[in-house]
Amino acid sequence: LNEKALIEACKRMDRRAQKQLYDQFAPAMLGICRRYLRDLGAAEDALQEGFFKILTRLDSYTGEGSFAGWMRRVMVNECLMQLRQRNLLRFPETMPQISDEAQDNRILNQLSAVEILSLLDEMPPGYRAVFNLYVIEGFKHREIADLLDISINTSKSQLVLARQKMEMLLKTRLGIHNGEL
Amino acid sequence: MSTETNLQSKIFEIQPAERVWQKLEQQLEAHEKQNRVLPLRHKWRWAAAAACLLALAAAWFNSYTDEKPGFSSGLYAPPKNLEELPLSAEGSHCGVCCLSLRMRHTLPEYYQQPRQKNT
Repeated sequence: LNEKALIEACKRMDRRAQKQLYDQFAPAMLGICRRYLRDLGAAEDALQEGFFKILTRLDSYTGEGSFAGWMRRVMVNECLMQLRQRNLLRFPETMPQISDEAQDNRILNQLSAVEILSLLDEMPPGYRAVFNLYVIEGFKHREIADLLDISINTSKSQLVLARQKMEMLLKTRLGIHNGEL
Repeated sequence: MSTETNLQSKIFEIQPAERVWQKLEQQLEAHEKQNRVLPLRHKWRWAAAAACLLALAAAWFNSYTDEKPGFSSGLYAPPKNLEELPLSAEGSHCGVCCLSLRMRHTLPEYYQQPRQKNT
C-alpha cells in the first residue's frame, strides 16, 4: 500500500493497515519521544498515546504538508503534554548573557545522534524541550512560545541557557578548557 | 542544507517493545467498541419503523377516543350540564366530574346536596 492508500485504510480502522503504519513510523517516532523524555518507558507511553491520537484523528490531516511531518507534530505535542502532566516543564525567568546567542550548531553537527541524545539526557526537561524544538525540530520562537505557553522572550532566553548548558557539558565531556571550544 | 536539517537527519530510530503495539491495539478496540454505531442505512430503517409505530399508535388512540370517551376525555372535557347526567346508569363513561356527583348519592343525606346558607 502506498501512503495515501494506507491512510485511507487506516481511516476505515483496518487493523492490518494500522499495524503497517505503526511498523513503518514507530521507530522514528519513538526516537523523537526519547529526545524529549529521558525515561524510555515514558517515551513508549507517549508513543502509544501519540499513535492512538494519530489513528483516531486521521480526518484532521488535511493533506497539506507531509504526513510524516504531521505525525511528528502530534508526537511532539504528546511529549510536551506528558512533561506538563509531570510538572517537569518549568521556565524560570533568567536573563542569560547576550554573547552566547551567536553560537551556531557546527559543533552539534559533528556529533552523532547518540552523542547528542546523551547530552540532552543531562539537561533539565525545560532546556531540553526548547533546545529540541528550536535546534532539532526547527520551530520558530513564536511557535515554541505557543506550544509551551510561555513568552517569546522566555523561549529565547531558555534557548540561550540550554546552549550554555550544552556547551558546558561538551567541555566537561571532551576535557576542553574555556575558550578552546 | 540548513543546520536544523542536518540535525534532524541524525535522529536515530528506536525499535519499540512489542507490548506497545499490544496496548495500542487494546486501546483502539476499546475506542471502537465505545463508538460503535449502526450504519446509516440501518439508522434510516429504525427511524422509519419508529415513525410507522408512532403513526399506528396515534391512529388507534384517535379511533378509541372517537367511539367512547376514554380517560383523557373524561379528565379534560367535562360535560356541560353535570346535573342532567344519568348518574346511576351502568357502563356510562361520565368521567371524573360526574363521579363526584355520584358520590353525593352514596353519602348520607346530609351530604348529598350542598347545604343552603341560612339567611
